[in-house]
Amino acid sequence: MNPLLVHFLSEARELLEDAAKGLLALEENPTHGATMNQVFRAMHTLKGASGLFTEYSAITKVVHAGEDLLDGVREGRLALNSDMMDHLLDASDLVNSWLDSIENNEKLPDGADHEGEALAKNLRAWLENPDGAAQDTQQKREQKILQSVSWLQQLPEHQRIKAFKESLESHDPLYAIQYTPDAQCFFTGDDPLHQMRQTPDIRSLRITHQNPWPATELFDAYSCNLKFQALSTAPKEELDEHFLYIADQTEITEIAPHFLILPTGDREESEILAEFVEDALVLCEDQAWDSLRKAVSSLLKTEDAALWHTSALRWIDLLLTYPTPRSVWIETLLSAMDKNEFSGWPDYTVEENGQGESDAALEILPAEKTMFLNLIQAQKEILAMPCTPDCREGRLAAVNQVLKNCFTRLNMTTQLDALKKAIEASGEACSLEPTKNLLTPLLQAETQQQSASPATMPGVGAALTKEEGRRLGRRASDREPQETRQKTLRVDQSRIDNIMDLVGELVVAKNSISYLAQRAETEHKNREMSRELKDQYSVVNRISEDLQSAVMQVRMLPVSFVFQRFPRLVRDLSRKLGKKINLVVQGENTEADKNVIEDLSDPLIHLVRNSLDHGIEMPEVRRATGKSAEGTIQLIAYQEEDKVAIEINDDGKGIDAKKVKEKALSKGLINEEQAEQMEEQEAVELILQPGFSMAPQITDLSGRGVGMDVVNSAVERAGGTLSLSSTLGKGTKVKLSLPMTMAVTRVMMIYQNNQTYGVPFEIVVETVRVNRSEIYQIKDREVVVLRGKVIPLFRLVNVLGLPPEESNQDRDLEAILIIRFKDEDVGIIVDDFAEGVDIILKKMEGIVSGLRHFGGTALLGDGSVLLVLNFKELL
Amino acid sequence: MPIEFTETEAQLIDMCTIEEAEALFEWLQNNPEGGINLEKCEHLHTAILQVLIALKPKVTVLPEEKFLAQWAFAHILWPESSESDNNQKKKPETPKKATLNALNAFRSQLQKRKDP
Repeated sequence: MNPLLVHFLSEARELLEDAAKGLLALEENPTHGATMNQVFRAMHTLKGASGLFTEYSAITKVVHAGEDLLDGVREGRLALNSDMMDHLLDASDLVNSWLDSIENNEKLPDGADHEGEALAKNLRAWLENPDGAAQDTQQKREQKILQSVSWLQQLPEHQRIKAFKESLESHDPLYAIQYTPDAQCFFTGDDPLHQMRQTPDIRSLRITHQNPWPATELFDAYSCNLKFQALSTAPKEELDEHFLYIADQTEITEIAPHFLILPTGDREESEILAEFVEDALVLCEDQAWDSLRKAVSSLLKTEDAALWHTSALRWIDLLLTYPTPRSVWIETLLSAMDKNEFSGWPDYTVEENGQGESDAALEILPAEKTMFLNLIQAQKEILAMPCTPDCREGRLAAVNQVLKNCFTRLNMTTQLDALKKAIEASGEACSLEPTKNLLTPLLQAETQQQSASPATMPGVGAALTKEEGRRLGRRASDREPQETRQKTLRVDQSRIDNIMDLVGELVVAKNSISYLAQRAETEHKNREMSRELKDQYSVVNRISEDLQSAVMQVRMLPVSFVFQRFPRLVRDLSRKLGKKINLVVQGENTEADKNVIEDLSDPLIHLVRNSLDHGIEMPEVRRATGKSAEGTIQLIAYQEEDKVAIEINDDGKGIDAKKVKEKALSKGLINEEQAEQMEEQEAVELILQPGFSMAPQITDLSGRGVGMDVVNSAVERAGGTLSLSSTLGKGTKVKLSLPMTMAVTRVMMIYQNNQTYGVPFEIVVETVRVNRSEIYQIKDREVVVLRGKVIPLFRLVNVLGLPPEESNQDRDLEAILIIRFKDEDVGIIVDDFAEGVDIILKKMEGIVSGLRHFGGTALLGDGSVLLVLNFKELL
Repeated sequence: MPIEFTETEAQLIDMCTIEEAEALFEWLQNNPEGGINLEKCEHLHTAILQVLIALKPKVTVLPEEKFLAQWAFAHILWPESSESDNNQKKKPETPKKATLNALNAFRSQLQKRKDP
């Protein structure tokens, strides 16, 4: 294959992965500008790269459409929604499948052009017809930003004027910072005031309270109730860094300087002013700034400074001090004075001045609506909780208050009336039912409505367009994010494998030096030579060990390699199953050998699917059992000694030990006596037995008859262990433990019938020599008592089915190798022990691959082959 | 002690840490009329600031320290004073009349512009 194409393939895959990851993150947090840019960049680069290969123009077409759509979203012309996301993910999947095809036979699959065109058309359709999702105009976005920073007007006017002037003159972007410290922040050592003191380039600061101050006797000096609002001209990165540890408590919004033009004060109707405005507008049109300025300043001298329109005049006066005043701003202010309120930026000044009609006049954002619905949902859950008659009244009152506020804000007047009636009914009936019943149909109707029309995602203050960025005078340096050149090499895996093999050979060759040293001494009687050889051996040994670990390091991969596909899997499946699932991934940076990671991926997918399908219940069921509707699946990876442990936990319904027993009985896996004696934990582990499947019905996802036993054996084949614990109703916990690397294994050698065998070191507990008389016979089993513990014995000669050797019959001492087998100590009687060696374990291949009794083979320094025993299969 | 309490005044000196917040709060409850002297205060922990903002005691001397003077105490405790400093409240005796005069002058000017 053309090396350019090889490079393209690997790069394209990486880009697609980045894009898919970013898209999923965006679904969670659609306003995250950095993620948006990351996805966009990935698509953009991919488009460019694919353009090199004219024969694969279908890829370019699809990616181009995706890029355009993302650009639309980024510029705020479109709001990202789940359906759009589906299309984008589909595009990424399609391209991925094409890449597979290119890799296999260097061409796109048949019909790719057609398929690609259809998808590209789908993607572009969003741009032409955003499907009801209101197009976000520049003005609208600006309004949203303004709404999110409506507190700006509460900053002292002189500070705002100063910041405005500075910003206009220096062309530095302005940032509005709102820091709402956590109530408990004092206990974690935070000093918010100090934080604000250290804020770079602060231009204005307002300190206010989060909640109204409680009565003095309830006042808690150690619970933070303050809120900080500030302006800064520092670069965004500096601010982000400064607030890094409290990023969840701060909102940093880039604002245009003219956002600060917010007249404040008492409002007063004035006919004279109306006339002035009329004339002033004419002057404004003629750009007769001097005359206007004179008029404004003479008015300013006479008007009451505390009035709203005087404040507006002050701003106009300020704007007129510039050589070329911005007529748009002045006109807006003038017409605002005419109507006594901002028409360009309506309503957000209303609240503070208490003059507005009612809160209902404010636009209800979709996100806001979802929030309210969640609130209503929460009230319903509260009502559903059991409670004593004493607390019923209080609960009812609390719920009533919350619902009343919600309905008022949402303009649901009919519901308000219904609520009043329901509350009364509840009071009379001494039951919470009537109120609860009111909420059920309401919530259902709302959710349907929401799913029918894809909700517009709020794009508040996040994505500023290029144009706007320029207008706000963004520093040149942050327009092009500096990408630090990655110092990585992309190497084909087979090359690394090749090095690994060579290192293996080196290890074997190195071992032969010590044999040579032995021979020099015994055969050639040259002790000097032998010692020198041994010296040399230790040097080579050190270097080869270093080399080995260096190659190992190269092969190490973070488990995120497998984990990263789960968010998508969980998203798709939970949508399909109608379950709500929150996937929590921890420790994705834990590293393990590439082979281990690859062996892991299938069992892990199976386990996560199991949790999704059988573990987590449907939302209704969960709510009925008092759990939150959203189930949680945790994927946790961590290092445990020299192993990698991965846990898959869910808070679903758990495994019913009784049912498992019944099923095992009916399948004949255990008999009745066993079933009775079996403890719960043991019973749960029965599902690891071959041929056991618990799913009552076969679904699309799991329950195809292959179940946990397949996972179990796959893990064991990779040299790991699987443990399972489950609490009925609480959830299931599966823990996989795998060796971090499989390349070099330390084994202990033993002799049997003049053959050497290897035993993995990690299972060896100890070696003992026991007098033959101390071995007892219990029924057909030999045992030995070691430090007061009875240890069952096996003779390796019998286990392997070798002919018994005459010479061993009259030995007094038996060599017993104690190994750890399924959490118990077991003794293996062997002929003799030998030293431990490092080996490169090769799996059994070809016609002997079915021989499970041996874990693999290894080449020894003297050229002989060592068979490594697999006791899991032998005993 | 970074806070020195007398019967009538609490003087905040240098760095006032979170440990003083409770003491100040108690003192203010026992001496609701007591004044706060911030002259020598270099920094006060948010918890102390919070006590001051919540209870709004009388502040006798403002801090000299720049950040506190310029930003932290600029307008939270005394919104009126800071506003008035900058807005130069002038109440003309007959505002309406004065406005009319100003407007008329403006109009005649406008007229002149229209027919030169």
